[in-house]
Parts: sequence; structure tokens; C-alpha cells
Amino acid sequence: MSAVIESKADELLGRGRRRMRMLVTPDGVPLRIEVPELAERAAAFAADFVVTLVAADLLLLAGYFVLGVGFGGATLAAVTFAAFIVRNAYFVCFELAWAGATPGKRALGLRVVDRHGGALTAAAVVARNLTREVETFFPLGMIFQAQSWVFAPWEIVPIGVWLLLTSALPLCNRDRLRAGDLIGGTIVIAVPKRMLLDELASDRRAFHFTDEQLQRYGILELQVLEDVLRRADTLGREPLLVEIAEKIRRKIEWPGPLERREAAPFLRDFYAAQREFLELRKHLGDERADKFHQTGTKR
Amino acid sequence: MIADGREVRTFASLRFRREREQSWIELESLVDQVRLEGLRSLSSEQVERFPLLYRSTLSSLSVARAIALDRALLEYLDNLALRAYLTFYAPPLDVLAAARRFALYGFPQAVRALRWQVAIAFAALAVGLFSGFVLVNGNEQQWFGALVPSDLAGGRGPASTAAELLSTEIAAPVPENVFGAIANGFFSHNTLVALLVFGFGLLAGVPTILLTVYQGAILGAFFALHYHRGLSVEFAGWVGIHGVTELLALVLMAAAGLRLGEILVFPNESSRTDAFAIHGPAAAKVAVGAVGMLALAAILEGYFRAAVQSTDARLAVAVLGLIAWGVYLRFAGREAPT
Repeated sequence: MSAVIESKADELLGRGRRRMRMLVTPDGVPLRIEVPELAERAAAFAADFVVTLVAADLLLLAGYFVLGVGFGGATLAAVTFAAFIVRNAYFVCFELAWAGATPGKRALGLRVVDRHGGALTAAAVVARNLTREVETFFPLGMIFQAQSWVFAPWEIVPIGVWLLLTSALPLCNRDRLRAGDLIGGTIVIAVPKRMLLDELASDRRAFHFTDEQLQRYGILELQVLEDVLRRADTLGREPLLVEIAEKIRRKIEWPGPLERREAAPFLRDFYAAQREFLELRKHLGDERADKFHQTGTKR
Repeated sequence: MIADGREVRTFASLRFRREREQSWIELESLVDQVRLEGLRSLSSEQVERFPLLYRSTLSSLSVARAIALDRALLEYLDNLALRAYLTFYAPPLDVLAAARRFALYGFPQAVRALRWQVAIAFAALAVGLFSGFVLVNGNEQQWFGALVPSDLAGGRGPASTAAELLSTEIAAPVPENVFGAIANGFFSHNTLVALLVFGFGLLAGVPTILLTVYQGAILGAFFALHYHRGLSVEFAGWVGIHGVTELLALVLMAAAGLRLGEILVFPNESSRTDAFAIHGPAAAKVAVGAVGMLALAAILEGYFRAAVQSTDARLAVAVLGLIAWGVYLRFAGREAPT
């Protein structure tokens, strides 16, 4: 796990505003991974938690009807115990059988993976789930049942501090690890599904640009233009395209006026020519980050 | 003007995409198929194709990063490589096989790797036991109440007579609701302390030692109470039948907690998060096994202790349990793969 070097366009356009980290695969290829927001993890957990509570409840009801275990003897400890067993069995079995996902995580597109890019092991899965009990559920139980488990009222204080520490931990590290992830060597990542979008550049062009005209912009402007063109395809924002085409026309000193209906094809052709030009420059060791680059000097 | 667009020379990233696109789409469909229908749904040709496509996509990603400035393409390849990687390197695990491997090899091996921490935890428990006994013996009024929380004492204390202890505690009958009793046993003070002893390892292990000593002191205090009333053997049987397993679990939890503290304080060459990733699972394995032992102890405590009323039989179970755990943890899984 290491920091990711984001391009300027990524910073500006945000990529969904999730944190990016690098995971190196066993093949040695660094992959960009997205660290989910804590709210997403909380939502996934809440969904799973409700399911396990209902399942534990049904189990106790079944115990009552089938085995005749009386409710009179169903102490709070028994309910807590059933919930503990069901919850851990649920999380561990799903995370093992579904390779790091539970129904809640799957619904939100989250996965548990090994932090060093290796295979997720059973020990890691059990460890990260069991630690959640120590992190949260036991201290909570101790507070709720203070009369039977806690020695004196002031013992609430260390328990509260412990709860505070464990819940603050995910906020204190870049990978949003909770104690269980730390001990288990795991990380929760977001795995959205991205589609292969159409190629914007084509090799049939109506507008042609000189190298002199293509000097004016850098990679940042190219990628922002790409973003605009892709969005315009779906949103049909013609006025915006006309405005941008006009700005570019002035910047590159394009001879002659542009009609409104020519704005889109002009921008597409400019995008293709600009990308070809910048890719070639990059290939030749002259990567131009944005329009402020110094022409002709290597960065 | 649009109509008479003329052909220009195709540039590298455009050509690159045209040539490789088909293999990406093929890999994507395989990944989706595995996600929806499982690994077994792949035909033998598809199984053969998968690693080839995976590797070629990884190489596509590297090439694209070097030559292409198309953000959508880069994001797509990054995402596809990640999803294929997860399919390829994180296959679902067989839960039962994993449990079996853990019981036969993983747990005893992990315990043996922590032998020093186990020794320290044992020492801490013994110190507590000894001091609890010495403090309370002959000084019950002053020390018993100070060491033992009143809820844990459950009415037992300096005022109890030998007859009371025998009837309400040592010879208590089998409870009506066995599941409830087992649950009570599991969620008893000792289990909670055992789990906290592990978790508190994250606070550099200091509270781990303190809590372990304190647990020993409580037991020592109870022992002194019974010793003073001539019930030491009965009490040893009453505690030992489940206590051997439970205290051993407590010691293992403490050892795992100490290991966590050690990782935190001495991460050595790596960063702390890396050190936890490398050494943490081994410590956690010990804790996982110890939770299993605690569950077993809860069954022994909630049901078998009351079902077996003879002190001799209780002591026999305790001694046999001690031997069995010792042999298991010392010798199980020695020649097998980790």
C-alpha cells in the first residue's frame, strides 16, 4: 500500500472524490485502488448487522418452538451470545466464501483484500471480524449491562476511552483501517465497475492543426476537454461547447470564424490532434503537464 | 465540412486500443461471468484463456500508462486489471477446509511461535494468583472486598460459611436452561477480560499484563476464601473442570495481546501498519483459537460442571484437560505445511 501520484486532471475532476491508494499485485504491477468513505462502510455494516440480528432472533424463536427452551430463561446473556455466534459466523463465512465480500459489502461494491496484494487468508478474515467484537461490541455490552459486568461506575471511563480510540482509528490513517484490518493485514476497498467508453479521437479529421497551434495547451487541459466532450455526449450541452471552442480558437489563433454547428466537430478534432501531439511529446521525454509548461525544456 | 474529413496517420494510443480492445472485452466478460455464476461456470478453454488475458491486460495497463493520455481508457484498464486480479488472486475459500487446517496446524503452530509471550503471560497470572492468595488469606475482611467485584463475588465473601459455599456454589445443580447457562459462562467476567486482554495489546501491552495479574489475584482471593474454610480440594475441582481450559485461553489471549504490543513498539524495519500486516495475523490466530477454547470452557462450566458432582471426577477432567491441551499445543501440526 503506498501513495498514489495523481495527475492534475484527477485532482481537479475528482474521480468520485474517493481516496486513491496503490496496491502492488504479485505480478509487480501497481494498481490504483479506491478507499471507500467511512459512510459506505458503515452502511454496508449496518445492512449486514440487521440481517444477523434478525437471524439470531429467528434462531432463538426456533429454539423456543422446536426445542422448548423457555423464554423465562432467555437471559440477556443468551440473546447476546446467539447474536455473537450468528454475527461472526455470518461475516466469516461470507468473507471466506465470497472472497472478501458480505451481502452488504457486495451491495455497496466493497471488498476486503490483503493489504500487500497477496491472497486473503482465513486467519485474516477471522481476525478482522473477531477484533470487531473487542473493538466495539464487548465494550458496548459492558456499558449497557453495567450493573453485572462493571466493577464500579468509574470503570465506564476507561471503556469509553477504549471505544473512542478504536472508533477514531479509521480516521487517523490514510487507508481507513480499523483495528481489525490492522491486525488482520487487510484493507477494505471499493471496486466499482467501469465501462470501456468510446474512443473520442478518430483518424478522420476535418480540422487540421499545426504543431505551433498545439503548443498552447498541456495534459491537464486535454483531459478536462476529454471530460467535457464525454459529458456533452450524454448531456448535450451545446452552448458550453460553443463557448469552449471559441476560447480555444482565440488561444491558438485559428484563422477564420467558427459556426455554431461546427463547435463539436472542431473540439473533437482538436482533442485528437492535441492528444496525438502531447502523447508524442511525452514519448520523447517532454511531458507537458499543463499550459504553463516551458516550451522546449524538459521537466 | 464534416463530410470531407480526410484520413490522417493513426497515432500510437489509437492503434494500441484498436489492437488490444478485443482481449479486454473478453477478459471483462470472463470476470463478470465468475462474479455472477462462480468459478465453476468457466469452460476448460475459458480457464485456459483467463490467465493469458489477465497478464496481457496487465501489460496493456503498463503500456497505456506510458503512452496514452486518454483518462477514460486508463481508468477502465485500471479497474479491469483490479477486478481480474481479485478474481484471480482472491478465490473463494472452503470454510470447512480452512477450519480443519486451522485446528490441525495453524493454531498450535501459532501458539508455539509465541512461546516467550506465553511464558510471560503465565508468569503474570501466577504472580497475581500468589499475591491474591497471600493478601486475602487471614485478611479476608480487608482484602477480599477490595480485590473481588461484588457482582463477581455473587454473595460469597468473608461472611460465607463452609456449608453455604458447598451448597450454593460447589454442589449447585444442573441449571434448567442449559443454553442460558452456557451463554452466561461464555459472557462471564473471565471471557470478557480475556478478549479485552487481547485488544488492549494495542495499547502497547501494558494493560494486558495488569489485567492478567488482576485476574490471577481474583482467583487467588477465592482460593484463599475456600482454603480458610477447608474446601481447597473441592474448590480446585469446581474451578479446574472448566478453569484449566479457560485460564489457558486467558494466557494465550494475553500472549497474543503482548505480541500486538510488541509489534506496535518494535515494528523493526517496516512501518507500523506493514508490521501489523506481516505479523498481526499470526497473533490473531492465537486469539481465534483461544476464543474456541473459551466456548469449550463455557460448555464445561455451564453444563458439565453441574452434571459431574464428584470432586474426584472434576479433578480428573481438569488434569486430563491440562494434559490434552499441553500435548495438542506442543505436538500438533509439527510436520505439516503452515
